[in-house]
Formats: sequence, C-alpha cells, structure tokens
Amino acid sequence: MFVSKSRLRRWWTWRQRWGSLLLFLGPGLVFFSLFHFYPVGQNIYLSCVQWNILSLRKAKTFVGFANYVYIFKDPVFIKTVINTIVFSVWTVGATVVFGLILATLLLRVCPWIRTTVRTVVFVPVIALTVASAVVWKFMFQINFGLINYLLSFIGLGPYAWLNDFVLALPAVIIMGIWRDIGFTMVLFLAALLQLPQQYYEAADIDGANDAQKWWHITLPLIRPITMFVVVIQIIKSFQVFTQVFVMTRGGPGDATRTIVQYIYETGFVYWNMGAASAMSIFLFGVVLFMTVFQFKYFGEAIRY
Amino acid sequence: MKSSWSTDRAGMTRKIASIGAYIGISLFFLFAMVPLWWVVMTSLKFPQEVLQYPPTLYPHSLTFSNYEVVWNRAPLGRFMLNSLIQTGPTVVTTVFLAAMMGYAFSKHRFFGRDFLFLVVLSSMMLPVIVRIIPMYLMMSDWKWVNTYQALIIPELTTGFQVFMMRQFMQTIPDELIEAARIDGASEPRIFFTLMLPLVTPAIAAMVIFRFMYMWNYFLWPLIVIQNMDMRTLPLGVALFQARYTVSYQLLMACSVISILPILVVFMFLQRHFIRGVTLTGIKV
Repeated sequence: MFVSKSRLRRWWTWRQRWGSLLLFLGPGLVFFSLFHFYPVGQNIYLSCVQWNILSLRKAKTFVGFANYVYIFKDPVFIKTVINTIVFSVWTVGATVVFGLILATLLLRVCPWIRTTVRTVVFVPVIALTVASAVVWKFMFQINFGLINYLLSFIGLGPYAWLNDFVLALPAVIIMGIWRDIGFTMVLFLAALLQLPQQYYEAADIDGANDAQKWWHITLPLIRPITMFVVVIQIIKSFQVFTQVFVMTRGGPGDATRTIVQYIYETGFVYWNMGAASAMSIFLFGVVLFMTVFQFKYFGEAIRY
Repeated sequence: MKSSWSTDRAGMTRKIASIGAYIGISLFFLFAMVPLWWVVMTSLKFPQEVLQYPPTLYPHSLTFSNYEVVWNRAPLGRFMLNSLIQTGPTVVTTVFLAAMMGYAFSKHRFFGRDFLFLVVLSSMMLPVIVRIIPMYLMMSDWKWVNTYQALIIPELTTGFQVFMMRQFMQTIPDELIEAARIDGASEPRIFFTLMLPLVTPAIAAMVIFRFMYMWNYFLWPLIVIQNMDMRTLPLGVALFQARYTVSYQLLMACSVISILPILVVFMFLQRHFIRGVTLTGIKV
C-alpha cells in the first residue's frame, strides 16, 4: 500500500514536471519551429533546387550547389558582399568608437547636460528608419541639400552624394552612424556608470593621469559590454536594408546595393528563388561565423 | 609654495580637459541635432522657400499647411492603426512566451536543456531575410498574404527575448522556487504569482525593446503586404516618399508625423526606454 502510493506519487510528480515543461516550452517552441527552424531547413533545400515562380509548386529539379556556383560567379553579388562589408566595418567601427568616446565625455559633465544630450542623441534610435532615411536623402540633395550648403563654407562641393558612384555609400554609412550612435552610447554610458570605483582610487594613489586610467582600467573593465555591442552591431549592420531601400534603391549602378537588398530583388522582383535562397544561406553562415568567432577569440570576459 | 603651484597646474589641466569634454559633446550633439532641426524647420516652410538657395536655417514665413496636405493625401491614421494592430499583440505575446521559456530554461532541469537553449539562442543570429522566402511561401499557401495574422503570427518569438529572460531569471535564487514547490504550489502558480512579479523590470524592458523593433519593422511587411489599406506606418512613409519625391516640405511633414507617436511615448517613458536598452546589454 505504502509502496504503491509512493510510486503513484512519483509518477504524479514526473507527470507534473514534464507536463509543466511542455506547458512552458511548448507554445514557444511551436512558433520557433514554424517560423525560425523550418525556414532555415526549407531555405537550404530551396538553395539546392532549380525553380522559378512559373513552376512554383511543381517541377523543382535538384541541382546541388549550382545556385551557389551561380551566385559566386555573379559580379553583382560579389559587389553587394563588398558593399555590405564596407558598410559594416565603418558603421560598427564608428558607432562603437564614437559611442564610447561620447559616453566617456558625458561622465565628466553635469547631470542635466548629460540627460539632455542623451535624449537628443537617442531620438534617431527610436525614429522610424524609413523617415530618417527620407530626411537624410533630402539633406544629401545636390541643389537644396543642407550638407552641400554647409560644405560650401569650407569651399567644398557641391557633390551629388546619392547619385555619385564614390560618395553614395559613404552617405548611407553616415546616416547609419547617425542612427545607431545613440544606441551604443547609452549602453556604454550605463556600463561606465556602474564601474567599481576602487581601481580608480588605487590609480589615483599611483598618480595615473586620466588617459592612463581610461586605457588601463576603463577599457579592460568594459570589455564584456564592448563585445556585446560589437556583436549586436555586426548582426544588425550585415542586414542593412531599409535606409538603402529608401535612399538609393542600391544605386547609382550597384554602388550601394547590399546583400539583403539584392536578395530581396532576386527573390521578389525577379523571382529567382533558388539564387535568393543560396545568398541568404550564405549571409546566415557569415553572420553565424562572425558571432561564434568573436565569442571564441575575444569572448572570455576578464575578471578582476 | 611648490605644492600650491602643482595643485594649480592640476586644476588647470582639469579645466582644460573639462572644456575639451564640452566641445566634444557639442560636436556629437550637433551631429545628432542638425537632421532633427532640419526636418522640423523644412516641414514648416512654403515650397518656394524649400527650393531656394542658399537654404534658410529656419522658416522666414511660417506655415502649417504641409501637415494638413500630408494628412489629407495619405491615410497616415490608417497606417498608424495598422502598425498598432501589428505591434500590440506581437509585443505582449513575445514577452509572455519568452518569460515562460526563460523560466523553463533557468529554473528547470531536464535532459537536453542546454542544447535546446543553444538552438533557440542561435536564432538570434538568423537574419530576417533567411526566414522570409519560406515564410512568404507559407503565407501564400495559407492565403495569409495581406492579412494582420501574417504580420503578427510569425513574429511571436525571438531568441533574443528568451535569452534575456533566462538571464534575468537566473539571478533569482533557486531557494525561493524550491520553497514554493515544497509548499505544494503548482508550476503555473509559481510562474504567475512568484516569478512574473519578480522580473517586472525585465518585462518592462523587454516590452519596450520589442515595441521599438516592431514599430520600425520594414522588410517582412514590405513583402507580405501589398494592399494600400493594410500598410503599416513604415511602409506608408516609404510609399509617400516614392510618390512625392521632390515635394520636400511634404516629405518632411510626413516624417515628423510618423515620428510623433513614438516620440510622445518616449518622452513619458524615457527612463524605461533607456533602461530597456541598457538592461539588455549590461547583464551579459
């Protein structure tokens, strides 16, 4: 009697345990499977078959890596990869470096200035990217644009910016930096405000100056958050689409066409789904590789 | 005598450094501010003034008619409503599902937990564009193209939110949960009455973060929405810009209107906004 009751009880707790697990994980996993995991598998499959929209559901022939070979022979795709890398290097570098510098400077000024500047610099982060892109497109306009007007004071220009093969990508990059600098600044500022003071006191006793303290204490201490910011910015910037779509549509020529923009066009304008799938799998591979690589080689947080 | 000279010098260096800080901050402030200033000022100008060179830094004759014209020509109210219908349920459900999964991943032990978590986490690095082609085929199979459910249902989970929720919940002591279990509380009860109240700050942060993301979401709506009536705000603004390419004063007014709702929310909840962003980073 006692034994059976205990077994019943054990069965009951077992059931309750797995039942509750199912309850907590089940709904989420269903959505993850349907809209995250399944699409990846489906995409890998699609990248290995030949098809177009006219034979949407039938007549798909397996072609192996032909789509991958095709995209790497496509000079436009290579160009979009280079554009995306250039965009990422500049925006990630500038937003991280300038965000950190701005946060460091904000620590030195009185609180109300800090709050005001933080608010204004953060507005681009919350504004619709589409709307910001519209504004910047106007600012870069050749005849009535503000930027050419400002440059005229130092005797430069006027430049065609978004219609210029050389300057179009830098223009898009500048807009990207403007949009994200508030985001990195806020993260760094929060990290800096939380730093333990005892290291700085010790450094004061040793007679270190501010620059030395910043380089030898602050930077190592905020390394984990820097890692996080860099990874997030890379994941974001490799997927840049909205501002390019609004400001230049990839032009002039292919000067500002990015990977995502090209995938969008290949898939949903020219309906070449095989190539589009292959490109998107390539993009996923790159982002995954960069993230894992970074965590593996720069990831170990330094503990003091 | 000598020591007072050296403190003087230190004070001098400090003063110079502080002036330098103010100059640096002003530069960043200007960089952020100029486009914001420019969009508002241009939206208040008459068309002739917009197209004159050199450009005027503020409207010499002021008009609000641009806003009226934009509001009458583009159904911005409808776009905002669509955005709200898309954003509201998505935000609430995402955070709730993430909290449930975060609870399971942080406070339960089961076979394959860490692997499963890693799989969920890896979806953080999954670019939106990778999901879009299969999802579009799915939506057209289900006849969901141009519907609200196509905007909402695929966006109900993100790896990032699950990851953050797990991080927060790990900071809550296990003893608390164990005590409740010994007292005979059921798992749902523990989750709702103990766990959720304890992670309220995290939930607020996650809601704001998700809201910012969804309100700005462009790529998926661009593909799955083709009807005018179903367009969300970002799509609407993009369409407006494509139609009135050179009516800059109208474009600027349209941009200002599109920013206003979230700006008002931001002004009231600024603290939570900043915290929402920082919490996500700091805990790593």
